[in-house]
Amino acid sequence: MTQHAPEAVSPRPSLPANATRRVAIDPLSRVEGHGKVTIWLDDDGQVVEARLHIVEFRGFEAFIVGRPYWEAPVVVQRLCGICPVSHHLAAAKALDRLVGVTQLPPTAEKMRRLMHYGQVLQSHALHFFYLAAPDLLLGFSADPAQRNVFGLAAQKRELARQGILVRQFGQECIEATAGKRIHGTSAVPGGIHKNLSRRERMALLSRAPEIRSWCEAAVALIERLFTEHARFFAQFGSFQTKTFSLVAADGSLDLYDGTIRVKEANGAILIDQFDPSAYDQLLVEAVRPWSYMKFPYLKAYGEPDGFYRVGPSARLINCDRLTTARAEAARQRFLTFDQGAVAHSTLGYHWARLIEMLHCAELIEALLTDADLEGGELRARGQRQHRGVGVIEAPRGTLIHHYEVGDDDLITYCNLIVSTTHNNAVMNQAVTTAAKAFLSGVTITEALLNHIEVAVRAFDPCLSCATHALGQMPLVVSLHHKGSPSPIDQLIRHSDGTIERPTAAPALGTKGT
Amino acid sequence: MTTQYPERPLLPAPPPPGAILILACGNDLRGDDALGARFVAEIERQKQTLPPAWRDAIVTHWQLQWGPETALLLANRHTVCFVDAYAPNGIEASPHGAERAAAPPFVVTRLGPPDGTLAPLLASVGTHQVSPIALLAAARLLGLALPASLWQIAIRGEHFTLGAPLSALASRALAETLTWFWPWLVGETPICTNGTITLN
Repeated sequence: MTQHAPEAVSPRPSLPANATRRVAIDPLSRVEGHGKVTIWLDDDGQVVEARLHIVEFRGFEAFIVGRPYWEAPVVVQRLCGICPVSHHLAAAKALDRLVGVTQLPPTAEKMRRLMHYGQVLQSHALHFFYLAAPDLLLGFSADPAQRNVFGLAAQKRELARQGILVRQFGQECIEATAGKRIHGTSAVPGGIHKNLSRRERMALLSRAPEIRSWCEAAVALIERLFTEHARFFAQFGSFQTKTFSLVAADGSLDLYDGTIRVKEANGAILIDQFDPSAYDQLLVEAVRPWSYMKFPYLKAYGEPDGFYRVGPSARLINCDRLTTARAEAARQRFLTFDQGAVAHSTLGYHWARLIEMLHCAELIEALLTDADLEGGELRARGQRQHRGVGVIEAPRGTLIHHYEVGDDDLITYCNLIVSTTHNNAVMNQAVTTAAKAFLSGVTITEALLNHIEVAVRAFDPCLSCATHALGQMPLVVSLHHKGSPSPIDQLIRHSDGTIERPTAAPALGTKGT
Repeated sequence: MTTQYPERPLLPAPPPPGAILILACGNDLRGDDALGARFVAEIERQKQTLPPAWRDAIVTHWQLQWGPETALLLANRHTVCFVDAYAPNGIEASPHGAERAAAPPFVVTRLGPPDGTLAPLLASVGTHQVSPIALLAAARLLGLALPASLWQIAIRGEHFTLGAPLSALASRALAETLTWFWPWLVGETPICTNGTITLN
């Protein structure tokens, strides 16, 4: 890793108007848990803009080229240790099309759905109980050492226990369907290579009602939190942006499959029943020189009008209904709370996420009663194609996998648009909003760091698992001022939770791994 | 029909199902970091030769890395063995290190239950290197009754490179650990010291 001291920059379109200096962290080969925020001030000390920089480079789209296509579901999921199931299934769905399969055998589709619902359940539980709840329940300015799931357990033991068990149940659904909890191998082009035994199905089913009841309690908890703190939560900002997600043919939410729907911020449907395999006709990926994460936007609307957001609250807004009763009732309360304002707010993502967690718990409970999971027809076959696109609603939003394959079965092209990427523009907007709301003077405090991170964390971004490090995402906040030869203040929170305020020119990235 | 079992020490009456937990961690794709996984695999293979009740008494779990959920596995156990690879001095082997040459093939440490303020003990939770004591502290915070008999078994490795096979040194250390393990389990762990049975 190369390090740079602060350097002078000339004004240019990619920088805020008042930028005179910048600090850069060169890309790391593997940036697990690294983010950087820069805050730019005007002459009056007011925040002009804040940026979340993602400096990771993965390269999967390049090195999968030349590999046999059937390796993709197993290889590409190595992008992540938290949401590999989503990549595994999106790749498998793309390869279904490649092998000419449009309809999986019931056992295969239901196994994949159970795997996916387990993934969303465990991911949402992880995010809320491990990462978000300590902020929301212990306070944003609580002792950093306590802002984790065990700090939560110290004060709310039963809630923490339930959260851990909900996540564990989701992981067990994954293990039963994918073969193991992380980096499973069961989804193959055209189907799946295992079914569920009666014993496995009954063991999971016996616990499903209790898991679902805990998810209901979590939804009730966050409703109370918003009732008590809605005004404070609103300071983290809201969006007047389009929402993007898959919906089923009947307009209900389908996390596994469907067509693309886009709504305007006022709720009007702009695009509906759009074939996801033609995503490249719909989206353009803009780039910024300061981040490896692209900024997708809707081609027809250009920048910035074409920016949109994905993920739990976007999905709940976009769909006409949820197919499970308890979650749908919760969705109605969510959409109408505070005249609908929460559904468009940064922290509203937390509420939406718990509704989806409940939805998945209900879906799993129902699916486990289906004996098709024990069926023997696992794969379908069709006419080999050369292009396949698979789209799925991953925990953080819409995930797109696109492969092209030659006659020799080797991949010639790969494009991945991951969920967090869709939200890049709104995450930066949220960081700016939080910085404007909470930055006082030029002194950066640990509480400020956490407020900024709270805004980022609301989206549950998966920066190669960065924010899944139990709230210990290394974070660098630099405060710049016009005319200052270097950042006028800087605070670094290392991955072990220690805070450092460099006294000299900062040498960033020294904790990089 | 009489079942023939391989030669083993006399086994006492079996503990309750799941009373003994072998909890290992490590990345089986990183050379000697696979020692935990290999130890568990060997225990699973060898326990198949035990009487059924003993097979049910011994539960194994291998995880790439321990996390908060792992603490739940400690519930309702009597004896827990935390197993992982260790590298002398904590770094990769040097061919000339005298200390390394003297490092034992495995190190067994009896652990006590965590006491006092638990928060400092939990520091490693959420990292890639969760310690046994952190798991015990987490279990206590979650209200679980801790096992009475707690052990850490560290098996020596030297090379932890991605894609590397188990080194010859680690293979020997694994074999020595397994040779030691069964008599120790029967003779030393409190749950196994009452009563006797004969094989066959």
